[in-house]
This record gives sequence, structure tokens and C-alpha cells, in this order.
Amino acid sequence: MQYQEKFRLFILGLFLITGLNSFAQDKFTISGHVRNSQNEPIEGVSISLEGQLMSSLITGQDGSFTINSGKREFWIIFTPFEKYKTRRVFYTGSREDITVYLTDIDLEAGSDMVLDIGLEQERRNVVSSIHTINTRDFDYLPYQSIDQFFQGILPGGLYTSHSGLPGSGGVLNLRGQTSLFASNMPLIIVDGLPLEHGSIYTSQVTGGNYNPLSVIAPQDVSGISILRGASTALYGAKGSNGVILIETLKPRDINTTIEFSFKAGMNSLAGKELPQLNARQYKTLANEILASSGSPEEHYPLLLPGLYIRPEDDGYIRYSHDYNWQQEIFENSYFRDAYFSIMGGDAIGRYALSVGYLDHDGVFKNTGFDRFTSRFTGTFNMFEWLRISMSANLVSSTSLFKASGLTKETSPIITSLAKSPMQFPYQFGANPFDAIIRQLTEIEEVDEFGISNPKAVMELYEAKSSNTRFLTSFKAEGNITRDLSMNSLVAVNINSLRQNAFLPNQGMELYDNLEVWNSSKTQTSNLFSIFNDNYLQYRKSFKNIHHLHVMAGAKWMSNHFEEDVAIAKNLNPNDQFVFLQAGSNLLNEIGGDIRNWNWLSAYSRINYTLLDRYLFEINASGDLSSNIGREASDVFLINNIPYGAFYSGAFSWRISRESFLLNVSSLEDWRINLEYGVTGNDDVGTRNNRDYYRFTLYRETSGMIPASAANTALGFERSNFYTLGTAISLLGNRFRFSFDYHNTAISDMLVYERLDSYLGNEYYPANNADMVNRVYEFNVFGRLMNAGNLTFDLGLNLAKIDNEITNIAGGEIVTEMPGFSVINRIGEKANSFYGYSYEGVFSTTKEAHAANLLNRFGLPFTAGDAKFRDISGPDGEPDGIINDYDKMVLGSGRPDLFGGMHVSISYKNLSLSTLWQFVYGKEIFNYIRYQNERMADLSNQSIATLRRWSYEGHETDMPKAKMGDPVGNSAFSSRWLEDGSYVRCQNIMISYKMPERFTFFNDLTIFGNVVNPFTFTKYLGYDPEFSYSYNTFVQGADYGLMPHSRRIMLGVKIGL
Amino acid sequence: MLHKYSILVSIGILIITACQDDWNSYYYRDPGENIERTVWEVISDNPDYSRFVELIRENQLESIFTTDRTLTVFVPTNEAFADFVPDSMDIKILLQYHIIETLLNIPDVQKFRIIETSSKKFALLERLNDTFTIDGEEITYFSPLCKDGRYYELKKALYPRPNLYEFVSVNSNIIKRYIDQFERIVLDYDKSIPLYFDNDGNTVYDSVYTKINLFDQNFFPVNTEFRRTMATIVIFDEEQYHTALDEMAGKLGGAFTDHHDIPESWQFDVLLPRVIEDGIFEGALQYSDFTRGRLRNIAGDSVNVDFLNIDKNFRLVASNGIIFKYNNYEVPEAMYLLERKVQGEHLVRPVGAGTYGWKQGVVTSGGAGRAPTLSFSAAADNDSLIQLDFGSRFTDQFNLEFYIPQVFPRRYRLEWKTNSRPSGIFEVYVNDVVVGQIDLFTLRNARQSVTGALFVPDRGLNRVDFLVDHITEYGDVKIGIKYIGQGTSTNNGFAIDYFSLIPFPL
Repeated sequence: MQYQEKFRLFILGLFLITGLNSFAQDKFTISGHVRNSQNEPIEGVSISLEGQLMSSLITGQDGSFTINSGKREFWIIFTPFEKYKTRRVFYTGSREDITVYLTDIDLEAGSDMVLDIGLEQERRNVVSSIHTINTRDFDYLPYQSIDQFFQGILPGGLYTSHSGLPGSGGVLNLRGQTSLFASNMPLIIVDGLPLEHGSIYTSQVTGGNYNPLSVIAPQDVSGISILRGASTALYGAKGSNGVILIETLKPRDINTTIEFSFKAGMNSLAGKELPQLNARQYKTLANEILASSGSPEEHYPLLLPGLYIRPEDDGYIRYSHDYNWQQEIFENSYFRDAYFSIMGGDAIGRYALSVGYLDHDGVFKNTGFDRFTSRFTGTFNMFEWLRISMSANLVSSTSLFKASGLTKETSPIITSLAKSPMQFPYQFGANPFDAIIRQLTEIEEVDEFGISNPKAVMELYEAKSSNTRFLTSFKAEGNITRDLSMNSLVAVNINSLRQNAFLPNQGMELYDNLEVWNSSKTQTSNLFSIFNDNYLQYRKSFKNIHHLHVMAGAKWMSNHFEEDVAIAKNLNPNDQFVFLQAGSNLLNEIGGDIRNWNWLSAYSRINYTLLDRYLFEINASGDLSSNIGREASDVFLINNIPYGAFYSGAFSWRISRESFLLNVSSLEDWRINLEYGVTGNDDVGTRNNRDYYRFTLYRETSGMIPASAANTALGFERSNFYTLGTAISLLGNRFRFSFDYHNTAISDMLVYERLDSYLGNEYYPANNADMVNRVYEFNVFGRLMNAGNLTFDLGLNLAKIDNEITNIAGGEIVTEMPGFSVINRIGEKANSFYGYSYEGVFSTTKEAHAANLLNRFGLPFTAGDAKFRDISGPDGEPDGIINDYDKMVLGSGRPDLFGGMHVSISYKNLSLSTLWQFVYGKEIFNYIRYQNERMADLSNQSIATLRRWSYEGHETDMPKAKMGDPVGNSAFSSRWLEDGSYVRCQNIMISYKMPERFTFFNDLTIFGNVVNPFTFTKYLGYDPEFSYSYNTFVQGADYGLMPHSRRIMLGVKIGL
Repeated sequence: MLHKYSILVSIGILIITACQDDWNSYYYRDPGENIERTVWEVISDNPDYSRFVELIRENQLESIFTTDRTLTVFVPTNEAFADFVPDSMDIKILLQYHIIETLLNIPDVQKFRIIETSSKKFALLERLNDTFTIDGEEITYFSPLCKDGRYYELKKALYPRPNLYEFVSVNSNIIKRYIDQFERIVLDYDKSIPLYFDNDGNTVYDSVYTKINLFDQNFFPVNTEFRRTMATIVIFDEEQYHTALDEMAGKLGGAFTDHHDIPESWQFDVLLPRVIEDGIFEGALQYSDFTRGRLRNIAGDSVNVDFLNIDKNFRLVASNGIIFKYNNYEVPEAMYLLERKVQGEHLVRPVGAGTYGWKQGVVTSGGAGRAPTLSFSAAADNDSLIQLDFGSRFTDQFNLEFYIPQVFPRRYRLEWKTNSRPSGIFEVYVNDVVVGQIDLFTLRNARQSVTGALFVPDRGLNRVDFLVDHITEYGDVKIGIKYIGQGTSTNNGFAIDYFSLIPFPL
């Protein structure tokens, strides 16, 4: 209070001195009030006029002020004390009494600076669609990768994590799917350097994904902006999926600050274990399936002695259990995250240094992610006109993971569900004494049913990914004149990824068509990228009415990627020699790949603001990409080299500044926005546009053969979009609302057209598909309660996406994926599930006879078989045969509606917040249930199979058990599709910040989190959220990756 | 305010319970009324099956249901036991015949299926339109799934079918005895424990013996039931067999008056193997299969079956095969009335490269240790004949004797085909009675047979025959030649292309 009093006297003094001096010049007198969002007057707000040499004045107790100006149009700057944010208000001289609402310090304000391409600008002046993410809570949440923070908070942005494996990343689509075969992921730019797509890295382990963002410690991030509109055109051929700008460690001031944070907690399986048959029930089912095979009963005990073993038989102990194998794969695990940073400097140079260590185990046993990060950033004012920045980031991480359900031999989920409950993980050891004392010490061998021992999968099978990345950049910012500046950035990205996998012999089913007993795999991937970006920018204001910002530059990027794969098979069966040389020479496999791709872009941008009311933005870029064919159409040529032209324009009308609304003081800002643009996607394959050859062996000699059917006319995929939206904020941004309608017509999408076999290649890449996305985005925020020290905030965002294929080669393309089919057909959603319509089970023989259906091999559907709808036949009429003519679009793995809700309550320094995410209208192909309810082999199944059809007249939805499923009851159909909608509480966070200096700490914050405490869903699997890979075709297919964990965490952050 | 919170909490609870309901209603929905109970528990509680349950208990078979095996039970109702006559069959086997130790989903049966019961006997499941039968008895109720299997209801009790062995045992005593003679007691190596080596190095076992039947192993397991080794047997009944032997005896004449006179050893050694080979075929055949020509018998040979002699109206389904019956059975005359020929080359065995010795059973004396040789001649039967050279002016003794087995008593002529070089004078005798003498050298010319025909020399070979009318008993006939001395030629010895006993008109 003492300080405030002095401050007020000081300001008052200045006012008196300067006020007297300027009195003679006054032409306009404006009076008004400054209020907060509660409509309460704010006292002591400093008020000044921008660009005019007058002293500030302060508001009185009633928040009133009177100010004089010598100009008709001017900016008034309101500088409140720490509880509120500074605000600039443009005055046009048409009013004499104004009311200004100030924004609470913890709310988003129009005066906040937003990270945009090439510059920071005030949020209120951003024309293109840019969304920022509040990084304030990054320190407090137990996430390993910054992409996880995108979930539930991005209007129109759907982030789906690959799995529950820590650091595994996910798929982020901004405003819907934009491509079939090319990347749908936005371009990610870290400190100006574009990161590579994770999809360039392949894996020898099914379900293995690499997440480039996993190398960034969330605590290092100081700002994130997501560009989805017109400004993406500046990234031309890489902008159609949106752009994410990430700014890391930023030395803020010259005071030395040291921060340390530590958090630790425990993970547990968030969902439920699937209810499986017990040993008794399993035996019954296995017998029934065996009997249905038609093979004689008397052979069963010979083939499967374990299933028929009697207590008096040798080895009975191995088959006498009733074991829940899921307990072998899941475990409660722990995580630790320590982070240290130091920042400081002086007027010449500033620096920031951070180191962090994360160790996060998965809920699958022996999985996890650990990472060491170090980052250094320095900024040096070399001259008054030149500032140089440099940063270096070295990260080393290791990920231990497991295979997906697509490899049944090594999948934890498939093996644990399919494994007979009669068995046990251990057997007697080689030591005869073990048998005497009845001690089970050795991991049990694979059983007679051919299912690997999950214990061996979790303990002996190993898949490991080691990553070392070095990012460095050098940036120069020079002011050539007062208005003209130059920026230059050179950055290098070096990434080395090494994957090792060992598929053991002990306890595991044979691999590769039962030919291989163990195998060792190694894969190394190395990327070297260099990036350079140079631009000039010119900023000028004219009479406070016209504001112009022009920018022009060029950037280029060169990438070199190498990948080597070596696989050794049939090593020593004792599993002790895992090196590659130990494999059988006949079965060794080696392979590799070298790819180079380059990108050159010249770009320009103009921003113009008139009277703070009309905002314009124009972007253009000309892009050269090595992925594009030399004969591509829809390009312009320079020296016969094809360039893609991409451009956009945006206009924003700040309607709240129009005279008829100026008196509505509570209306902080109301804008109507219009954007239009054309952007591109050059991720059409690095080699699809060129003929090349590959080596092959022919008898005793080697030769070269054409490697692919190249399309030298292959061009960019193009996104032609327009956006119409409006945004309103009220009462000092206490309430905000925005709505956008976004329409993107994607043309020239890459598809692989089927070729006639005599041409020697199966597919041909071509730009031959179009698609449209109609996106409705709704975003609302409100501080519903702001009483004294108590605040209650509610944020809600919602997006509806209508996706439709408008053109495709041949009218439709059906693509077979493991276990299911997808179709891309005109008029339907992209990558729609395509299969039979499952309508139950034939209850009686009479009913089956009446239906008189055959499968495609001519086998009749009988009582107890699935009832598929006979839709059509070769003549367009139902023909009694269930085959491809009867397949139909069954839904899509992409949701119709999604969004999130954020609720925050704070009282003084104690805050409680929670984030919810929901997804609606999404179908999931439950591959795990498909494997778990097929009843076509001797795998254990879920207890739902207890209601399998078993007698004439049995009314049920579960077909009969039948070895090999000859009639096709388990064919891909709506039976396996489930409602994947869910509402998930992403986290509940509580934090308390010490109000004052605490012992020798400047500040101390204690926080706790529960991540993923609740999920409400009808989905019958472990977890409705997954994304098997970056491949768009498998979105919605649950192949059994690690489910998400529930996490409880406590942490502390200390500032020195 | 309280009201508002109550509504919010209620909505939350509703959402949570709704999602939980989806999970539960899918995984735990209506698994069936019996899913937590065993088949035994379910049928024990049903008064309609009390008789079956009672019989199971009485015969101490309840333990079948108390193991953790999976079962399919065909439960006869109490009415089914009203006219139930266990007959001579073991009641336990009969009850076990209603139990299958696996889980059968009978509607899966498209046409028919043979299933192995707990009694180790096979039953036939058949589908007739939309009804299912087991051994012809209709299944009247299909139970829902129980914890350890399911049961099906029958209105009649099942009687297990006999297997082929059991059938022929009743219908043909001679074949039963024929099969039984293959029984052997052998050491069961799996169950015997090796103790030590004797002085000769042989392993001495703590022996466990087991009984096997070589007929089962070598031909068809008529006594053991296997699903895929079914056979079809065409058989005669006892009466038909005796009639056939009576006819045979009539044809043999002499002391043979009826079937009692036909030696059993001949039946076992000659007739019954032929009956088996001509009458047992792989697989379950229909009558129409016999009309399609030759069939493969269980020995793997191609057999031509006289389908007109098979009773098309008689077809019995045994548990491991099909039984047909002959209309009439006749013993082929060829089995007892055709010539019995012994080739010369069958009397010797190779003892070295190009050298031969006499086979066991061929008795020689004299000849100064000379060894027979095998010669090839285009004029010989099978292109070969044996020869023994005594050398020039051989003065020593030489006798050769061998047997023609299983010869019925009647009048024969003994035909000897030989070479005229080397030669000598030989006395030929049958069962130690001299039937003639020959100087082999004279065979270079035509020679008259006892039948009046003329034997003409052919590239050095010729035949000589002798009347034999002193074979009065069935058995092996001894043929002998004795060197008497040097004949017309000085180069002595003899050759045998063959000896043949040929029935001669009485």
C-alpha cells in the first residue's frame, strides 16, 4: 500500500506538470470510466495517449478519468496495476464519454502478444485463424510430450494419441482430414525450424510409432500458436494441414531466475480388464470348437493332451490352473520428471539453460519412456541494430514398447486374452529339485494351442527405440531502418533413431509361418535437415489510422534420410545370443533406404489495418518441391521447373468499432472474419514422381528392374478453403464467443490406382481424388463467477466436421486393411468402414432355410450362423449370396462432433481445474473383440461368447462356435463396429502457490494431478482413444496398443 | 441451489451408470440359465431323467460327471426305460454309450457324423431334414449350454451297435476263430521297466505283457473301433459256409462227404485268408459300389466282386463298418481242384554271386556236394530252371525230396518239365512210392503222356508225367527223384523247370 500511494503521488505530480503544459493545445476532452468485468470501478489506472508527450493520469476512486488530446484519432493506453492487463483503445473523436473494461491478469486479452510467422502481434489484430495454447500449466501436468496439451482445447482440432505408451505421440488433425495417402499432420515448427513428419520413420515392430515432439520437454515451451487459416499459405506446399509454431525457452528478463520442478506419481490401467472365460468355460468352448472341426473326438486327446489331461496324468500341474493372464501384462507403474532451468543476463546478452530428466513407465510391464533433455538459448544485442540468437537442443530418449495385436505372437493384449486360463506362467525349472519341492521357476513354454506365454512376451520379448536428436539454430535480426528489418535463420536438425527388437524362443509361438523360433531385428534411421529462412519486413503506421506490415522472404530446406534394417532369424534357441551374426544365413534379411527431398519457397505477406476497424491480410508463396513431377499441371514454370502457387487473403471487420456500437461499452470486441486461400501438400511420396530402378538377383547374377510405376505429372494436393466467422468478447474479455464456418475443398489428392497386372506394377500414383470438409467451430469462454478472491471459469469448444469425397478415380476405391476394409466413394466420408450389415443370428434352421443364403464359396448359412443383409448381386438385385455386392458403408473412424470443456475454480492462490474432452459419432473397429469373439480357433474368448448360439430356437446375437469359421460369421461387418463416442475427464489439477516468499524460495507451488480419472463410453474395449499409426486408413481400428493409464501425480515447483 | 446440485449429481450418476450398463449388458447379458451349473446338476434336478440318473448312480458311473471334462449327454427320458432291456450287454457300456466326452453342437451336423462315445463305441448322428437322430432315435430336446457341456433328450435308450468282430463272432464261428488265432501276448515296452542286461547283452525287463491281435494290425481292426478305418465286409453265415463246404466235399468225393471232412487247417491256411481278402473292403460301401467293377480290398489288392451274389437287401451298420451277406457262398474249385505247381527255381536260394544252395525243406543226399545252378531258357516257365551237373559218368547216389503243401487226396498226374541234358536215369516217387522211372536223355524226342497226349521237346526241354493215385489223405505231399545211374548220355545230372501235381480224372 505504501508503494501504491507513492506511485499515485508520482503520477499525479507528472500529471500536474505535463497537464498544465499541454492545456493550451487541447482540442478534445474525453471523459470516461474504467471498470472491471464485474462492472466495478477500478481505481489507480494509469492513462496516457500513445505517441503524445503528455503525462499519464490515473483514475479516481470511481474509476473515472478525463483526458485531453490534440488529435482527433489517437490511442489511449490504460495501464492498470498488476491485477489487470494493459489495454489500448483507439479513439476516433466521436464520443465524449467512454467506458473501458479491463481484463483480469489471468484472462486472455486482446493486447496479449501472439506468436505469428515472423513477428509477434496483438491478439486483437490477428486476421487469420490463429489459436494459442496457454503454456502456463505445462509445468504442472504430467505429460511427456507437448502434443498431449492439444487435446480438448483446440476448436476444430482433433488430437488422438497413438496409445497409452508414454511419449508415443498421436495424430493431430486441424479442421478435419485433408488427405488420403499424404500426411494429415500439421507442419510443426520449433523455434523457426520445421520438424519432420513422424510418418517417415517405419518400424519393424507393429504399432511402433515415432513422435518427433517427444524430444521437447513441455517445460521448455514458452509459446504455441496454431495457424489454421490464411496465414498457412505462407508455408505453401506444406501448409494445407495447418501450422504449429512452438517457441521454446525464452530469456525473459535480465534478472537471474532459477527454477526447479519435480513431479512424480503412479500410473494404473484406466479402463477395465476384459472379462474372459475361466478355465472351465474355456474347456467347454474349446471342446465345442474342436468338435465342430469335424475331426474325430478320439484324436483330440492325442492332439491336445493338455485339454484332456487328468489329475493322475504327468504334467497335470501345467494345465490345472484358472489364471487371469491380463494380470501378467498390466501393472501399476511410476513416473518421475525433474526439470531445472536458469535464465538471466544483462542488457547485452541474455541466456536460458535448461536440463530435464523424465522417466515414465507404461502400464504394460517393462515398457516406458525415459528422456534427457538439455537446451540452451542465448540472445545477444551485438549492435543497436543487430540482435543475434542461437539455440541448441540435445535430447536423448529411450522407449521400451510392445507390439500391437496385429502380431499375435508378441502382442501382450492378444496373447493375454487368447491364452488358455488352464495354464500358468511358470513351469518346473531344469533343476530336478524344483519338481521335488514343486517350485515353478522357469517361464512356461508356448502351449499346445499355439499361444505365446504372455509372461515371455512381457519379460523376454524386447522392443526398444533409442533416439538422439540435436537441434540448433542461429538467428539474426537486424533493423536496417526504423521501419525496415531483416531476419535470417539457419537451423539444423539431426536425428538418429535406432530400434532393436528381440523375439525370443522361450515361451513364444513360432514366427513367420512357423519357420522361425527366434529373431533379432535392428533398424537405424538417420535424418539430416538443414533449413534457412530469410525475410525482410516493413512496418509503418500513418497518422494512427493506417497500419502496414509487409514481409517478403525465401526459405529452403534440404533433407537427407537413411534407413537400414537387418533381421536375423533362428539364432541359438537358448536366446542367449541376440546379436545379428548369430542368425541363420539362409534367413537373414537386410534392407535399407536412402531418400532426399528438398523444398524451396518464396513468400510474401501484407497486413493492413485501417482505423482499427478493417483488417486485411494477403499471403502468397511459390514453392518448389522435389516430390513434384516435372510434368505436373497447375503449376507455373521458371526455367522449366514447376513451382506451386499458393495464396490467401483475409479480411476482418471489427464491427464493434463502428459508430452504432461504440456506445455499447460492454462489447469489448466483435469481429466478422472472412478468409480465402489455396494451400498445398507436397507429401505425395519422395519417389512417386520419378522413374528409378532397383537391384534384384536373378539366378546367379544381379540386375536392375524398374522399381515403380512413376507419375512424372504428379502434382501438389491442393486445399482451397474459405472461412466465415465471427468473434465476440464482452466485459473485458470475461466472456468470449466465436463461431467459424470453414470449408475446404481438397483437390488432386494422391491415390494409388490399380493397374493391369501385365504392366508389372500393381498401383500407379495419381492426383485423382477430391474431398470437401465443412467444419463448424464453436468456442465459448466465460468467467462465470468473479467474487472477491473466488473465480469460476468455464470454457467450451465444439466442432462438427462434415467430410465427403467428391471425386475419386473410378468412383470408389476399396482398400483392404488387416481385418477390415475401407472405401473411398463419392458422396461418402473418406476412409469409411466397408463391410456387411450384421443383423443377428439365425435362431432356427427354418429361419435359415427361409433366408436361403450362401457365402461366397457356396456354403449355406444355417441355424446359429450370422445373418448378413443380402443387399445386391451382379444384376443389382439380392441374389442369395453374401459377397462383395452386399458390402455397404458402415460408418467412419472419424468423429462427427468433438470438443472439450475446461472448468477452473480458484480461490486466492489455490486453484482447481479440470479438462474434459468428448468425441461423438465415431465408429471403432474393435479388432480385439473381433479376435476375442470369433470362436474360430482354440484361443480363449470373452465371456460374451457364453451366449453363443447353441440350440434350435436360441435367440441370441452371438453366432455359434465353429473351427475355422468356414461360413464367415466373423467376416468384417457391423458386428465389429462400435460406438466410439466418449467423454473423458482428461485431468483434474489442483495447485497452491505460496502467497509470499517462502523461506529461501522466491516462489513455491505445490500441485497435484489426476489424469484420465473417468471415461464415459459405450466402447467395449480397453480404451476408446487410440490411433494405430499416422496412416489415415487405420484411424478407428483398435489393434490393441497399450491403453491409456490413469495417473496420479504430486509435484512441486520452486523458484530461486 | 441444493436442488441444482442434486440435478447435476443425478445426471452424473446417470451417465456413469449408463456407460457401465452398456458394458455389463454386453458382456454379462443372458448367458443362459444353466451356464453356472454342470450337466449332471441339471439332469439330476429334472424328474424326467430320474431313471437315467438312478442307473448312472447304481452303476457307479457318477464319477464321469465329476471330472472336469466336457460332456455331451444323450439323456433318455424315464419312459425310454420302460421297455429297456439291457440284454446281455454290459449295462455300464450301455450307459456310457449315451455320453460323449466332448461338446457337440448337433445342429452343425449337415448330413451325418460318427461320434465316439464314452463306451469307446461309435454312434451315428444323422440329420434328416430338420430333425436329428442318433442311431435312428430322434433327439427331442436340445439343452442350453451348461457349465461343462450340454445334453440332448431322447425318447428311447440307445443300444450300441456291434462292431464287425462282434457281428462275425455271432454269425460265423469259423471266422471268429480265424481272427482269434492272430492273438499274441507281447511285451509292452512302454509299460515294462528295463532292469539289467543279461550275459548275452539282452535287456531284462520287469515285464508287463499285453494282448494284441495281429489281424487288427495287419489287416483291419475289426475288434477295435476307429472312425476312419471303417470297412465293409461281405460275409456268409454259418449255414451258408457249411453248405459251401458240403458242396466242396461232394466235388472232392472219396472220403469227403460233408463239411466235417474238409480239413480245418486247409480252411485256416487257404480258404479263410481268401475269404477275407475277397470280402473285406476299405470304407463304408453301398451295394451300388459293388456294381462299379473292381474294388480295393483291405490288403490293397484289386478285387473283382460278383455283386450278383451279394444280397442287396441285407446291409447292417456296425459301429466300425458295414456288413453285407452273400446270396450263396461257394468255395472256388480253383482252391482245391487246380494243379499244384512247384517251380524249380523255388527250390533253391542264392548263397553268393551266381551260386545257389537248396532251400530249407528241400532234402538232398549224395551228389558229392555239388551245388545247383540257375539257368535261363526261353522255353522254361518263367524263363528259368535249375540244374545240377554230376559230371561225366557219375556213379554216386543222389536223392532230392521236397513237399507240395495242402494237397487234397485224389488222383493226380505228376508232371516234370526238365531238360534232356545233362541226363541220367531217375526214379520218381511220391510219398515214398515210386511212380515211374525216366532216362532224361530220351526227352530229346517226343514222349507220350499218361493222358495219351504227346509231349514234344521245345528247345531242349520236354515233359514227362506219371500217374499218382495213392494220395489218400489231405496234407503235404512229398515229391522225390532218385538218381539210378548213367543213362544214354555220359554227361549226368538233371534239371527242373517245374513239378506239377495235376488233378487227373477219377
